[in-house]
Amino acid sequence: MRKKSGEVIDIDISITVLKDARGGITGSIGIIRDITERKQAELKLKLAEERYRTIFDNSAVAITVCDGQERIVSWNKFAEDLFGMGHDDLYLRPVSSLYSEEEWKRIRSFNVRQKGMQHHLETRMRKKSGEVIDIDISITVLKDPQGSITGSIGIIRDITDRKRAEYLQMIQAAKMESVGRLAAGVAHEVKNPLATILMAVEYLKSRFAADEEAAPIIADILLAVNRADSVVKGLLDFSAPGRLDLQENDVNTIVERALLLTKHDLDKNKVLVRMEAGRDLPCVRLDPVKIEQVLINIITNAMHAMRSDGKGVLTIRTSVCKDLVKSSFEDLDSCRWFPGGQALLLEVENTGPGISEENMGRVFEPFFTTKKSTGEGTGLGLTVCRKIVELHGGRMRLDNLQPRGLRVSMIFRIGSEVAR
Amino acid sequence: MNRKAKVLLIDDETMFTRLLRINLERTGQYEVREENDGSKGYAATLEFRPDVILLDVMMRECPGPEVARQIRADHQLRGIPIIFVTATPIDGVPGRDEACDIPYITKPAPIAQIVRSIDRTCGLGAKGAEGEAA
Repeated sequence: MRKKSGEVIDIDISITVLKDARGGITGSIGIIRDITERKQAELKLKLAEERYRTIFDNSAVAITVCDGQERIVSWNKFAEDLFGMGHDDLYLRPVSSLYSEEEWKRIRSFNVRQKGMQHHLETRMRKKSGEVIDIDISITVLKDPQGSITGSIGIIRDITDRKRAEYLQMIQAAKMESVGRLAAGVAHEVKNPLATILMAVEYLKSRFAADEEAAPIIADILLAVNRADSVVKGLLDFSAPGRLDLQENDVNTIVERALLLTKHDLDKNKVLVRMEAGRDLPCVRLDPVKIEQVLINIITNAMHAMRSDGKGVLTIRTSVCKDLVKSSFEDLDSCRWFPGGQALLLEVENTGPGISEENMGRVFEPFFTTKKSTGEGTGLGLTVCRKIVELHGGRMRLDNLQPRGLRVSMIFRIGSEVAR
Repeated sequence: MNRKAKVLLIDDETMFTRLLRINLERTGQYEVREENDGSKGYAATLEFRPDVILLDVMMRECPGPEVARQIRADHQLRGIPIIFVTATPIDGVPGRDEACDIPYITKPAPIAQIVRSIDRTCGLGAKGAEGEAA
């Protein structure tokens, strides 16, 4: 109704009609209450409800609400998509029917109803199609003011892809471990006969040094022995990169030393070296010899890749990566390990042809090599490099550059802690 | 040095020790004795009194570090320099910690490297260094 001032207010009116003895209407009594405040509160509540409803409906996680008998009474669109179920499938469905008997027993064993909530419980559930998916569920129990359970809310994330990746990683790790064990055993058995062959060849070399026919044959045997030895050495590095001798280190000094050790070959291959050393870099705990070994390996790979160019450029860059989330190392696991999302970044770029799409996924596999000339690569170099970087708690990745080239990036944790 | 340096090879790889002996003897600088049974390494040292011992690490009868321990436990022999010659990464070898001051050569090593190590360790050249005897 409108007040004299023109202001419109919400009212609640009760009208009683007054009648005389014969039933004729004689008047009426109106009781009017100003309910503007109540109406405004109701409107606010409605808006808030709509807001929550929007969050509920549009969440990128599945949300289900159950009643006191653990039957599903409400859910969002994402839940329908995830379970592959519609209203008829879900309404009043016992939530236990989404799980296998065994999984339901396991969920029960967490005593969520007593505890009131359970975050990030990893389990498996069945979709309507029968497909089983891995999920992460957080459960909150709803209670009335008297403390009786009235229902529960479940927030469910599909982690099938993550679980699959973890499983593959586990298989890969087991594979690597068995290759490592094999390598250590084989090394001993191969190095001893190699030592004998080498002694025999050296004897022949001293006896037939002047023999024009024998000398090149002996030289070939020596080369073959060295090649076999380098394969075994690679295998041993791979199977046991050994203990790390960690020291607080200036990464630029390690880079400079690696460049010094490869200078001769770099010059011979006419590779132009560009060093973009970051200034005032924080100290990082590294094993200088092992990281030098990694760098020499990467630089040698780069040289081999650029050899046909004649004008290759090798760029080594050191810096602090301030935002890992925006970098190529975006996986959450990395970010949690690197405090503040920061890390020391060491990049080595070359202007070679890069790595083909099909080979990119295989470069860290033991014995995988694209090098055609024998004796250049055992296919263990990058595998060992990555292992060494990971022993430091660091990460390593390879990216092709546009229009051509390859970047090897390594990140290391800033600060004193390393073992993981 | 007027007389030849005496080198004792203790290694169960008979072909290796024979060829190494021939190569060392051909230099004209060394008198070489082979012992292919690790468990007889100490006795051979006692009898031959070498100037230097090239000692294998992984031997069937008795591991190299144990032979080294026996030799060093004898005050007459303790001063004889030992060089491990090993096909196995030295880090993981049992008993290595007790013998951690002993330099080593990794198999296969060229004769020039072995000669250099012997000369250094015997004091014929520069002083022997700890770690890999190169």
